[in-house]
Amino acid sequence: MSGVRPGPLARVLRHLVLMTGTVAMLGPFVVMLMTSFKPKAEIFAPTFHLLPHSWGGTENYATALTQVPLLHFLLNGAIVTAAIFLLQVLVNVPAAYALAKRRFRGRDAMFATVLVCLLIPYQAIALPIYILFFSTGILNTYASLVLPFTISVFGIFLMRQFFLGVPDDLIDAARIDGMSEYRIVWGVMAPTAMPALVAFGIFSLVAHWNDYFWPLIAVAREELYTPPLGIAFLKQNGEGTAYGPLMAAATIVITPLVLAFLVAQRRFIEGITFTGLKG
Amino acid sequence: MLVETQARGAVRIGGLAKRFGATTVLDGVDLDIAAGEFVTILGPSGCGKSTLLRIVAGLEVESAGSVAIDGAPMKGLAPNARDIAMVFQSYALYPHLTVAENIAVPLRMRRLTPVQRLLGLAPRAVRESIAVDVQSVAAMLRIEGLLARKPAQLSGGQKQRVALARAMVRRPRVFLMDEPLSNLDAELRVHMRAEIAQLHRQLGATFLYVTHDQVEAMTMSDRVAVILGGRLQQVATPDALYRDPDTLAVAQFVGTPRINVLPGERLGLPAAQVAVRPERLRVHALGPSGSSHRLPPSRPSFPSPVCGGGGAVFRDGGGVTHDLVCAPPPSATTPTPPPRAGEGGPGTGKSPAIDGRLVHRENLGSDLFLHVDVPGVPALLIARADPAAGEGVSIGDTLSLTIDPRHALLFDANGRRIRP
Amino acid sequence: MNGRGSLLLLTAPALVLMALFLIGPLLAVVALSFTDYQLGAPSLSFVGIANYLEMTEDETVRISLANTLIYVGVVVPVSVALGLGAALLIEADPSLRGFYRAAYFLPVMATLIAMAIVWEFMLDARFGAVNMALKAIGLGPFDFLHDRKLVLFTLCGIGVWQSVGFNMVLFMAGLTAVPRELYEAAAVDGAGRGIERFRLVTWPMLGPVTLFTVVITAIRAFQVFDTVQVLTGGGPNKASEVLLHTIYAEAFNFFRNGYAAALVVVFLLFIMALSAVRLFVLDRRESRS
Repeated sequence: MSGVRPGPLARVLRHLVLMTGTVAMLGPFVVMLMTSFKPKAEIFAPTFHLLPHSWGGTENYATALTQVPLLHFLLNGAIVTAAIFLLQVLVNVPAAYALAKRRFRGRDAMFATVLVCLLIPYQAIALPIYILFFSTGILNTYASLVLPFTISVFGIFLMRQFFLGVPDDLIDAARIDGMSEYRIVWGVMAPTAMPALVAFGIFSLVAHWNDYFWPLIAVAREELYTPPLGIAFLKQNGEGTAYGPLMAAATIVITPLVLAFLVAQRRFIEGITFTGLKG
Repeated sequence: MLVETQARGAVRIGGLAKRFGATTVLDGVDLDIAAGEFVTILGPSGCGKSTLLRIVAGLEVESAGSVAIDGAPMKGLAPNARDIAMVFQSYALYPHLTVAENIAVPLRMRRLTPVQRLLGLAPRAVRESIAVDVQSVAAMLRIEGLLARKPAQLSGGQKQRVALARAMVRRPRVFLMDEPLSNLDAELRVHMRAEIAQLHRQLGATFLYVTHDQVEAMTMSDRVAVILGGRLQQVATPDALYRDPDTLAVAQFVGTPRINVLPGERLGLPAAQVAVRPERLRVHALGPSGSSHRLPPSRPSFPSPVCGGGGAVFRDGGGVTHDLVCAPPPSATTPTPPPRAGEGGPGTGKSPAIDGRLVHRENLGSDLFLHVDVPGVPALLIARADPAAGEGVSIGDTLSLTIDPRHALLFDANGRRIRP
Repeated sequence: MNGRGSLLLLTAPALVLMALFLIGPLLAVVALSFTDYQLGAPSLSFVGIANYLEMTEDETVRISLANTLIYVGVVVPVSVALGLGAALLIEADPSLRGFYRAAYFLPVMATLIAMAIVWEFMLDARFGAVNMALKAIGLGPFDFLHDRKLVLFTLCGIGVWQSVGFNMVLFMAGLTAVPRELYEAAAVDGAGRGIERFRLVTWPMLGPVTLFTVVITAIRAFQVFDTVQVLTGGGPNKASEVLLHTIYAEAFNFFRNGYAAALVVVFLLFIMALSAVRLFVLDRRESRS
């Protein structure tokens, strides 16, 4: 920070403390992985070994994948999160553009509405939406999983912040060039806002992949289960203590996110910070 | 506040070098600063001058070399153990403390134990002594009225004064200043230059000042150290730097507008490059029917003086001190026959002459700068003349420029000065 | 496509969706709370504040609210303090910085349901790794998830585990925003390292970030649901019952939607109060810069 590094003793202490914390932070992941490789006998042995002595991994993963259609659940997760994000972009970006760069009566009222909506936690409004879907028969469909999240006031807020920083001259030049509003939004504003879009994308994808509350309410059919539902289902429907396959399932479920995170670490952390600080 | 009379604060820098990975920022700098001297380290951005200052402060560790203050080596000493104070470019005021509290911080660090500070148990006598010192320093800088305000409520100039006060309150032997005026607007800068110079005279401490602005360097310092590319090019009084530079780089860096550089053989002079200050070029305009007259020069230029009051003085080349005044009215036109191109040179008793075409002129009101395109010379030559004379010449006219060899600075192919 | 028409096209989808999925439901929830609606019933009737009155008598609700407040009261200070500590330590030296940052942030990202199940395994009274480790130093075994006295704090622990990385990242951003020259001025003044430097420069500059982090963590803590639903179901004997879980049970197990809506309003009030503070902090920061 000011060019002078702490002394060697301080550095060692730092590592000691941080390593202890790391054990607590990563411990569950390690245990999860190792247990998924252990045969049943070892899992329930009276003494604990971290590393498996014999290989039970194949059986565990096979059970996990066949007892419930885990891969199908992963696919559902991908479909749902991708659909949500895509629709969010389609809805939010133009609205943010209008709020940031277009002058119209009611603009302040609209933005005030956005701000109020930011205060609403989604679990609070789940109930009426559920009733609505129930009465219109949309429950238990992909639509029920996707629709409520297509409006993301957080996304609008974020994009608007970003768009405010885009110089008006750029847009005026585009208008003089004869671009339609549609072209301006998608051809000029969106590309400029790429960093904000990426940050928001990460936030949205992670949040909805991991969401449990709404899918729990919205769908009851197994083929629509998202990954969190899938693994909860496995736990509740399998033998309660089938830890081997359970750990295998857990590993499968979190692997996509973990891999993505390790690959694009910086982007992830930037994304969460950016959205966390702004929102 | 009394004037310090002890001679403390002599700084000796020996062979200082600093490397960041593969980049060398400072490459063996030697500098001796006498106690009470005002030395400016001048150089463009990225030349290592700030790094040098920070090493002296103890904020960076040198890769090689040494720093000693009053003979004591500073190696391994924390900044606050060196009896130095620093004024930062961004002022670095603690935003959550009032002005008075800001100024008091160094005193609290020194006069109270950590426990006293932590629990707020300062003994009355100490608290009062701190308050007295803060008050006296605030009075010196005329900021008593601001003591209860927070930095966010101050203007740039006020913040700068508070930063100065915080540095002064400890009466250190060396003041380090890192481009303190660069965030101020131009008018304020002129004013603060005079204030800082005055402060230096009052306090008698050593001032080590870093800047890229040569006007600041030339107007405030006893001596200026020019650093280019991590190397010390020359240390001399402002005047000596201007008239007697050691290297072409120094000659080009100091002085506005930039010094003119011509290839040596063009003028028949025994040097690879010849540099001439704009005011040293004599300009002859060629009129109709072959007549010509010389354009009156403006007064030989010195770095822009601080006009009006302040008591600033200037020492000219002959060692005579003048009180700075604004430039006097120009002298009248003196028609003289021009030398013919190609004539002149060493041994001829005449100055070398070159012809060029006027392509641009800048009339600043007090001075007239003529930009002349001379074939064979890559850059435009700039000559300084009296604005009144500007009436007679227009763009496209042919001008004949002559150089007095006595005022030409000769440099070899490596940029080193050749002194006759 | 310009002018009024385009404006409509730009804003209409957002406006419609906001009305349909945000404002509408918000109003509906408040309205519902004054009825006795049950899902699938042919009609409903207005019952005034009967639901709210019932809430004050409801033992479960009282326990649930208390538990939730305890949960927030534990998770917020612990995870914020640990997050700050981690950020300070990691930023203090470049060695292994990237590794630590990734390691501490991973729990934030990993699907909570999956990791909750892993924790359940690790906390098992007979075979769990945690109890094995404690046995090695002569403690336990503890029935973390089934002991009435322990279960809520166990969930707090998992909550902290999941939040530390997030807070750490926020603090790291705050730390890197502190101007270097301020640290240097402190060094020259004599507060170059340790506690003095923290008190003079770091802590005051982190003020806004800290407040922000506390509010965000509190909001997230109020929304605790996944771990409760999957690991304890609110038990044993309501010892780990929390507000959202009670709402869920009333709405979707007992189908007492009117009553659930009233509970939601209470939940909403807490969250909106906290969110308003968050927005207020943002406002002050924006107007200051």
